[in-house]
Amino acid sequence: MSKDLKAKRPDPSPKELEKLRGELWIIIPFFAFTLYIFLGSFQYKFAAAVVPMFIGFATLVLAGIRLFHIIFPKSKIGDFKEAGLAGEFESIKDQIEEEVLKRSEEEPVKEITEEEPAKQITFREEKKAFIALLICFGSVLLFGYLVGAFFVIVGTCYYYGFKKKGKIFITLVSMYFVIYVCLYKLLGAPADFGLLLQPILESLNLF
Amino acid sequence: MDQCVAALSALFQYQNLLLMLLGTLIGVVVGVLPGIGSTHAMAMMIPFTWKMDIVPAFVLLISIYATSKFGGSLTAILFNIPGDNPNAVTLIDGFPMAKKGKAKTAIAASATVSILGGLFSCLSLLVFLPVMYQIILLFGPPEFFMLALFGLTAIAAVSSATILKGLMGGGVGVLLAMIGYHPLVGEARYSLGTFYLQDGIYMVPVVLGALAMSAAITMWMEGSSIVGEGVPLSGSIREGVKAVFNNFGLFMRSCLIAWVVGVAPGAGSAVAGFVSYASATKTCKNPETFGKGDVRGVIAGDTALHACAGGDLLPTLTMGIPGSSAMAILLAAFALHGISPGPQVVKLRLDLVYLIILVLFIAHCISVLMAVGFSHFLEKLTKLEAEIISPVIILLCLIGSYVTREDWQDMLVATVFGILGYYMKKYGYHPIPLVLGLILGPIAEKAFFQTITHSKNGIFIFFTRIPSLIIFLCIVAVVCWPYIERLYKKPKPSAL
Repeated sequence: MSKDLKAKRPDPSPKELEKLRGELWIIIPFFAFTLYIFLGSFQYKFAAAVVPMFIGFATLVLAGIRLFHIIFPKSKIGDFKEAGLAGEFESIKDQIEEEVLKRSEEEPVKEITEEEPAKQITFREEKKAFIALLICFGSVLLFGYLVGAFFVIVGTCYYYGFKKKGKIFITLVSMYFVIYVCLYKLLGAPADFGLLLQPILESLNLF
Repeated sequence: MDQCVAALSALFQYQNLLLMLLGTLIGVVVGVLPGIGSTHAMAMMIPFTWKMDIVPAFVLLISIYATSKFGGSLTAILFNIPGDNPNAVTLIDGFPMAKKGKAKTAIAASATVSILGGLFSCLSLLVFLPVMYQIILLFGPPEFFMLALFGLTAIAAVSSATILKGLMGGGVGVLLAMIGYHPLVGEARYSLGTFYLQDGIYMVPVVLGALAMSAAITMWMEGSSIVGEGVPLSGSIREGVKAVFNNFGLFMRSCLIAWVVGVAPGAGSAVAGFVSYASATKTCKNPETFGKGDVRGVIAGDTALHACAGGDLLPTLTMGIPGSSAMAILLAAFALHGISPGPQVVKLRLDLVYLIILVLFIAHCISVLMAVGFSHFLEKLTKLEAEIISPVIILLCLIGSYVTREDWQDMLVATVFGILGYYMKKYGYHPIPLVLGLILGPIAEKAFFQTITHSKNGIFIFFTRIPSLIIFLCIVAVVCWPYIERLYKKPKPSAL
């Protein structure tokens, strides 16, 4: 028993290491933010500081030990293996799916469970989606939602190279209907032409 | 009684009826669309409810929430496409039934349990709401503080893969809520000298970004490759309805499981469906037929999807603790209309609560008729490309963030939290604890100060009052559960 406990911890696989490294996208902002809140709490009156101080400290410890584990993946500290109830439910789900697979051996698997290997999202796809998201944000910010939505839909359709013009037309008409007619005209949402277009329209006395 | 009559008369105003029909239609359509569920649809509707009165706004949102699941079940049975994650459970037995030429039987069974499950949801809410209200009347600030902590720890335990990641997410959410003016002292904290941060981080863009926009980003990356393989509509409707009544014990058991899972913060209908299905395979006779097209599998899974709505709504309405991500959106809608989520809703707007219950049931019934009637049209929707749906969701989330306060910085917050939410999900940190931390943080802080100011025993008052102590013990149990379990669980034999 004691021998088992003392047994050397196996080295994490390259896939696990890659996943741990990826987690830095979350842990570093969390760590930096909690550190800022915790240290910043000392400058306020006690009443205003007590909650950020205590919660900040607790979260900082959690983020710190996880960061430690990412830097030293062999260490047990910050391993965070304690599965919550979600872990229990996941295992129930996996168990059901395993049993279904076993029972339906004579039938093609795909037709029963639609279990296909999860698509691996590449860095290129991530980059592409984030750029698209930022373009969406930029269009609405610069041209307002009434005009920005138009650019976004047309841009997206052409970006993905849709051959059928009908789809673009239908999407545009529905978006125009939803945003301009329902939101702007019927529900009285504020007229907004963004940080760039609004001053131009104002200078031309069009707004 | 007066409140119930007021709710009925409000519901039967023509504009509310129209909105219920519209909400049901939206719910059915998004239920059918792969990857989009009630959370996204409710998030997309936030900008439209902004200018509405609170009653029509909630009629629209609750109709969407109630109806998205049946559309997903229909496409799971007919085309082997689960409309949303929870509908994956319908697929296990639903599609094999359809392939055996019993599609109508499976649909009829699913439709029957949808209506009966919806009825159970509403009745359970009607029965437990007064009980919960009486319990909440016993609560003072110490209990509300403990309740907020319980909500955070429970949701961290249930929604995340590991409890500590959930707690970390919840902690960051609470810290985000600390930004801005302190409610009692009036001191601006962590504002970095900006006016925007002095008001604090607004809940609506965070909820829209972290929950809806992050999902749209994922969908955009994954693209759409699901093309339905239809099966002919054959079988007997009567057989499906009869199967439900022949297995009424299973139906009731699934309802109770779903209700309990629904009450647990963060669990949601997907968990309810699988837990109920697992229970059915263990308790029913001839379990070997499950997964091969057994109608009991459809009954167990689908009942849970619909019956958990009552349990989901109960903690949201009475305590302000959301049972799922859709409920977090509902809390954002409450905030948008100036109502603090929690006991105040039951105390001051009981008519609204009755209205929610009525809409929940009626919308369930309409959705069944609508989904069955338009099944051929709905099939076409399953072939819509994710690349066209995702920008629409993102745009509506951006607009929803903007129109409420007309501040472009809210759009920036939504975008940042959209990206953060995507990475959180990718690395096993569910964004719900973060959102809940942001919602419950100010409630907890206010209750903490009210308690400390009026307490003669300092912080010991949290442990000397019985309700507060009970909630504290629940928190300890939730946090320590994995460690206790580890002590009693036999280690699995190593493969080596």
